[in-house]
Parts: sequence; structure tokens; C-alpha cells
Amino acid sequence: MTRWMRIVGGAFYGTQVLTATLVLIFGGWAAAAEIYATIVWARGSSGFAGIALAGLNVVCSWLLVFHLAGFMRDLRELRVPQHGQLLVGALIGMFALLFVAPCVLVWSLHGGTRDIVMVAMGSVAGTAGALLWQRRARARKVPGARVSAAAPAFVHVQRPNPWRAVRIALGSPYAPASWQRRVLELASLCAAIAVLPILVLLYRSSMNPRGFTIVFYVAQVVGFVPGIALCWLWPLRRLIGIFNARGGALTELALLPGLGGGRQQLRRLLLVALSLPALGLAALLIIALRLIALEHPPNIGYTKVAVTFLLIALVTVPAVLGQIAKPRATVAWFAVMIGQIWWCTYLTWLIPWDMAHRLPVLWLWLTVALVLAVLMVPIGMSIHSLRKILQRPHPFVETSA
Amino acid sequence: MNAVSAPETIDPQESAVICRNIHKRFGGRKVLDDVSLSIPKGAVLGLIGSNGAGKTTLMRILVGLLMPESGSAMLLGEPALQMTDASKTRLGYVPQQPDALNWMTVESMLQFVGSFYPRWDSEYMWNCLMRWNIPPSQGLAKLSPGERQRVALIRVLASCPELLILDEPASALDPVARRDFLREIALRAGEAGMTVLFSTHIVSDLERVASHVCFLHEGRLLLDTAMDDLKETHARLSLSREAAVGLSKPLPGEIARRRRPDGGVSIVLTRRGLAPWPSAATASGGTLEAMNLEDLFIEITDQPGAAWFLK
Repeated sequence: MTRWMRIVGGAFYGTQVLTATLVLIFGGWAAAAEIYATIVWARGSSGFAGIALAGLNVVCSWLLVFHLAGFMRDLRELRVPQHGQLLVGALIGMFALLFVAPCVLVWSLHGGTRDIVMVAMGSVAGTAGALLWQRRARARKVPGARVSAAAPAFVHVQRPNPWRAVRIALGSPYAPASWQRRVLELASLCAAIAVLPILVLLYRSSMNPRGFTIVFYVAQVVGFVPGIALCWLWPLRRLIGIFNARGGALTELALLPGLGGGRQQLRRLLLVALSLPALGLAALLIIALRLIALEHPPNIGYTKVAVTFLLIALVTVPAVLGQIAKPRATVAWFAVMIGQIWWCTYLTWLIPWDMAHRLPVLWLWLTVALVLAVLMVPIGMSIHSLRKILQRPHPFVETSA
Repeated sequence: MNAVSAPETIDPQESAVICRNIHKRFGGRKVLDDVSLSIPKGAVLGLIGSNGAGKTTLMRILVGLLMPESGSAMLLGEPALQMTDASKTRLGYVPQQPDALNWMTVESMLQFVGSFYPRWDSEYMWNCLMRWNIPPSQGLAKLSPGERQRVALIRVLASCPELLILDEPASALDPVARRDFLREIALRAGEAGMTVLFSTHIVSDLERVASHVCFLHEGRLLLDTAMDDLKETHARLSLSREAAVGLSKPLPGEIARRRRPDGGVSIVLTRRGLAPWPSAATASGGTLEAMNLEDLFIEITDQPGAAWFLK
């Protein structure tokens, strides 16, 4: 029994992915159930909420079965004694989680038979999808079937245009991808931003109004952290990776024929590499402004949000360009530079901006001059690094000594 | 023909690679010190040297990925730092750790790279993948270092380059794959006239395929020779402790000297062509013996400041 406990515990806590998945599933279910219950209570019928619940169940089932299949494979490979009983236990638990629990939940929320059937069908669809996915992945990995006996007929792949080639070389998230993958990425981003505020909304009834307001604001701000990391920092890290990897992708790009001269490549690379994070940051800014607008704040609220986003760009761009200009600069320096984002954000929100009206004119101008001087530091660093990069005969040539 | 030649005597039409007086430092440490090298077309030049000798740095400078502090490198008749697309299609380079585009699968990476090369040999690519049992749908990042090195070799060889520069290409390969690869190199050099520059620690690999050999030690190119001439132009003079007492000054043609544990001295001597060995060597009472490449490597590198002997 103790051994079983250890195995099950290891499966859960050995990989944080499974634990995180379960937390996400339960959080998602709780949120969806509350929305469903509210709609059923208010309208007497579930309407679209039933379909949404079934859709959520497809995703949850897919995730759970996917992990279960991995768990079963591990058990087989590890040759755990009496793993048959363990498997039966896992299957019963999975059945309860996938079919019984959602149906009972819908029934307990006074959902109709149609919704119960839909949720059950969602479980079936998710299970089937996960099993098919596993089968496909296994077929790819069968050692005997690694390479077919006969070499496939030569299909000449069209040479990608230089812009596309740069995107491919940069890898995800720049590389061209299927629309399914894009939708998945977008959904992950939305989930990362929204999961915390939704959880706070779920527990609204257990908080007093003032506490709820504060916690909700914090949740919204913290929700943007993964958004900024995914939309802005992650793509920029890819760019740095291209330049930092010794013998890495930069070698490939530098020696690939047909990508144009050094200056052309540099311009193309910077445009491609900066456009995506810039778009991502702009999208986040729009979302943030829309959220702020829901509360009808004074104009200064909009300014603060805009300044925060501007500071994020101003702080990170010199760090990124500095890393490109001198690839051997320490990672710690990069981390410190990026870390300034949070400090700048707090400063932006803590400074009483309406103080400007009360300050004497001289002090006001001095403050403006000081702020401009401080801003010149990252701008100057960016220009310095950019000049160093432009001095290279080719963007990927190392010059550091 | 010697691989290393005086820069002014080199004919750019005859050489695939020419570098002149290359100097490079990293953080104040001299990594390359006045390296001049020329590789004739069709030669297979093995670059041998101990760890940190500067082999990788030299190769990165030769392919234009690293800027030297002074000196110049010409590749296929063009400056290495300003290679045209035409030259790039004729060049194949495999770095020591081929991590390029490792987010792709083997097949997609090879097809992506292959689309840039007009002479891409897809049949060869598939044959190699089959022979070496590399799954085309596998992600590059999930391959073992040896498999990744094989994929990198397939990538360059399938592009049918005229000049191949390989930085320790066989270090992660198993003996069978290494033999396959060396056979391929020898075949291509012999039949298609491909020029090859490769660095290695494995002396037997060098002996198997190289037509020329260069020793790089502490940033200096110590010696160059055609493999066929190695045994005739280099010899080891072994002296007993008593005989070595009177030999404090370097002998003519001496390139390295090492004290043995028994108190005797081993001296590596070189001569031009079939010229007689220095009379001092034969008169000293020691024994002269021919050397293989491994002996030569150990004798030269197993002592501090060996580079000064050639000055």
C-alpha cells in the first residue's frame, strides 16, 4: 500500500505538469459551474452555458486521458509489481473524474438531461482525441518504423523567401505554424491572463467588498505578468538565443546562401524579431486599457497604464540589444535589467501624478528634466549597442575580444 | 605541396583557403598568434592540436563567423567576412556542437536547409538517414549528441560542397559511423576534388584520410607537412642521460625537446625533403627513429612553450 502511495504520489508531484493540469481543470470546472449555475438560476435554462460546459469537458478529458496514458506507459516501462491493480484503480478514478463527476455536477446544478448527455459526450470526444493522439505519437516513435525501407521520392521544397526563412530560423513563436497551433497559443495566452482574476471572481462571496476590490486589482495586474512574459520577453529571448548560441542558429543563418547581404539580413532580422513582441505588447496594452475603461477611471489612469507599458519596452530593449552586441555579457546582467520592469511599474503607480498641479513651476520643470535624463539612460544604451551591432560586417559575426 | 606557405607565394587560384597573419585574443589571452595557412584545392588537411590550441577559433575565422583582430582570411577566392551567395553554396561547415535550428525535426531542417542549395542531393540525404537509423520525424533537440553530429554531417555532405570545414566532426560518432564518414570524405576528395579542412583529436582518423597535416599549439601553427612525407622529414633522436649532457643548445632542425623519466632526452628533428640529418644529431651517439603522427603530436605538445622552437 505504501509503495502504491509512493507511485501515485510520484506521478502527481514528480511532474509539476500533471499537478498544474489538475489545478487548471478544477479551477476551470469551478468557474464554468458557477457561470452555468447562475445562468440556469436566472433564465431557467442553460442555453449556451451547457455547450460551453461540454466543450470544457472535452479539453479536460483530453488532458486527463493524455496523462493517464503516459502514466500507464511509465508503469509498464518501470515494471512495477502488481501494476495491474494500480491500473484498474487509475481507470476507475479516471472514469469517476471524466464521466461521473461532471454529470453529477450538472445534475446537482439542476441541469437538464440534454446537458448531462452533452457533458458525457464531451468526455467521450476528449478521451477519443487523446487516445488517437497517443497512438499517432507512438507510431512515430516505433524504432523499427523510424525510417522507411525505401527512400521517399525527392520532393524539392520551394526555397522560402528571406523573410520567411528568418522566421523559420527564429523558431517558435516566429516560425510559421498551423492555425490550430496558433489558436492553442492564443487560448493559452488568454488563459494565462484570465485565470487569476476568474479565480478571484469565484471566491467573491467569501470576501468583503473592499478586500475583493484590492484582491481583484492585484489579480488583474499579476495576470498581466505571464502575458508580458509570453508576448514580450519570450520572443525577445529567442532573438538573443540566435546570437548567443555558439555554433547555433546564427551559424546557419550566416552561411545560408540566398539571404542577402549583412545589412539586409540585420534589418530583416530586427524587423521580424521586434514586430511580433511589439504587436503582442500593443495587444496587451489595448486589453489593459479596455479593462481600465470598464471602471470609468480619471484620465490619469489611462496615462499610467500607457506609461507602464512604455517603460517595459524602454527597459527591455537596451538589455536585449546589449546582449546581442556583446553576447558574452552575463545572464545575471540581463536578469537584473529585465527585473527593472517591476520596479518601474510600481513607481509609475505609486507616484501621485496629481502632485504636478501643486508643485511650483521650477520644481515641475526640474522633475520633468530629471525624468527625461533618466529616460536618456536606456535610450543611450540602446543607441550604443545598436551602433556596435551595425559596425559588424555581418549581423552574425562575432567581434568581441 | 605544403599546406602552410609563405603568403606572398600563394596563388589564389590554386588555394581554396588562404589566411594571412591572423591574430586573435579573448579577454587578453592570445588565442591565435600570427597564423598563416593555405590549403590547396583538393587537399584534405587535418588540423591537430590539444584542447584550447585555437582550432575552433581558427575555423570560425576562416568561415567568417568571427572577426580577427588583424590578418585576413580568403575562402574560395573571396574575403571570408564578405562571402557572396555563390561562395556560400560551395561551402559546407559543421561546428563542434551543431545545435542549429534544433527546434525543428530532422526532416524539416534538412528540407529547409536543402532548399537553399541548388545541388542538394536528396537521395544521399535519405540514404544516410536510413543507414544511420536516424528518425526523420524526430526533433533535433531530442537526438543524442552523436545523432545530431550525424545529421549535421548529412546536411553538409548533401549540399555537395567544394570546400568542407569540419570542427571535430567525428568526436561524438561511434566507430562504425566514423569509418563511414571518413570513407565518404576520402571518396569525395578523391573523386570530386572536394577540399576538406577538419580538426580532430583522433590521430588515427587523420592518418586514414588526411593528405596534409597541421599542428596548432598555443595559438601558433607549429608545423605542416604532407602525410606521405611525415616519416621521412621528421625523426626522434633519443639520447641517454650521459649523451644529453653536452647538448644544451638546440640542434639544427630541432622543433621539440622533451626530458624522459629516465633522465634521457627525446628531440624531434625535421629536415627539408631528403636532405641529410644534421651531423650533430648523428654524432651525438643517440638513436634516430622514424615517428608516426601520434608520437609527433605527443612530443610536440607535451611541453610548455613548444611554439618558440619554430621561431
